[in-house]
Amino acid sequence: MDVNDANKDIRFIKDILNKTQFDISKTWLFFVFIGVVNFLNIMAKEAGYYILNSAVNISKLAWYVLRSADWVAFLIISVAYFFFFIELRKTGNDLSKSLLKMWGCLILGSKIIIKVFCYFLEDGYVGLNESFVRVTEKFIYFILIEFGFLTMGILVHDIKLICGITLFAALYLGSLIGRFAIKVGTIHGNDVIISAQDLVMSVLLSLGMILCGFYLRHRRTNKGGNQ
Amino acid sequence: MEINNIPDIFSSKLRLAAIAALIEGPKTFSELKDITKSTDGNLGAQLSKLEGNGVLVVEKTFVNRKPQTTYGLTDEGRAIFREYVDLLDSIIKGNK
Repeated sequence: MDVNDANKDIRFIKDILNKTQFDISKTWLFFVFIGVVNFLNIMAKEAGYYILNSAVNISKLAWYVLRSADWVAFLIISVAYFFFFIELRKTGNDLSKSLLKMWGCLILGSKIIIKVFCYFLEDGYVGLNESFVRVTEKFIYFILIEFGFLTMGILVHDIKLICGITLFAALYLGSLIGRFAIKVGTIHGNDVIISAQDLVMSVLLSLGMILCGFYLRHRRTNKGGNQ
Repeated sequence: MEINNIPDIFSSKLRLAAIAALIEGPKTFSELKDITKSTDGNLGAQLSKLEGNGVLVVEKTFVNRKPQTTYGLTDEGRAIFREYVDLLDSIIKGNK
């Protein structure tokens, strides 16, 4: 055995160790799935606004259907999460399993806890203004999602992931401070407006998740694990 | 460990890959297959050799009523791997 052989073996061992320790690529489909569901949810709501705008009479039922789109998406993601979790439990490494558990708590668990918390803020004992509660609710959710991505980036030592999520955080805070609003539809002459931070949040949860999923897959294919 | 008495277990890339993959902790057969990108037959044969050499321990369990084989490194296997890596390191540094 000479220096070249020794170097080759060391590189080979490092590759295997990187694959073993930092490989979270098996979670890629989970992120893509969440992103696609959220994206379809946004599209469905846009289509809903368009249909309601062209309808002569807007029934209460139509409003309920449109407003329940978020919960339908939440339900689909919850069911899918358990399928992904069962699948990963069979083949995934400890890091992937821990990350999926964390994302389960962040995406599913936190949504319910925040809703209950905000319900009490708004209606119960505190009685805060509704719009303030909504902004707070979304802000807490965004912080948790950011925390998830940041933790993931740090755990797998991925600087690109950390930079990407920091950019989203900057955009969100910028739009929150700037109080920009964007028109997303019209219903019988009345504009449907969402805030810019809501748009950033939607992009993160849809296109951001899809990109993240494909990035994790690409990362494994090209680097064998660690960056 | 010296250059002229490197154990035979390190002569195969697949065996080396399997040992390296197990350093972090036990793995199932399918996990090892995925990490090493090998076929069932080849991996099974190499893992049997490692088991025969006392490098690996095998545990057979049932998960959701399906048999699952988990492999882990023995203390001896861990020590041999460490010695091998030290040897590679010293070759690169020009001490051997």
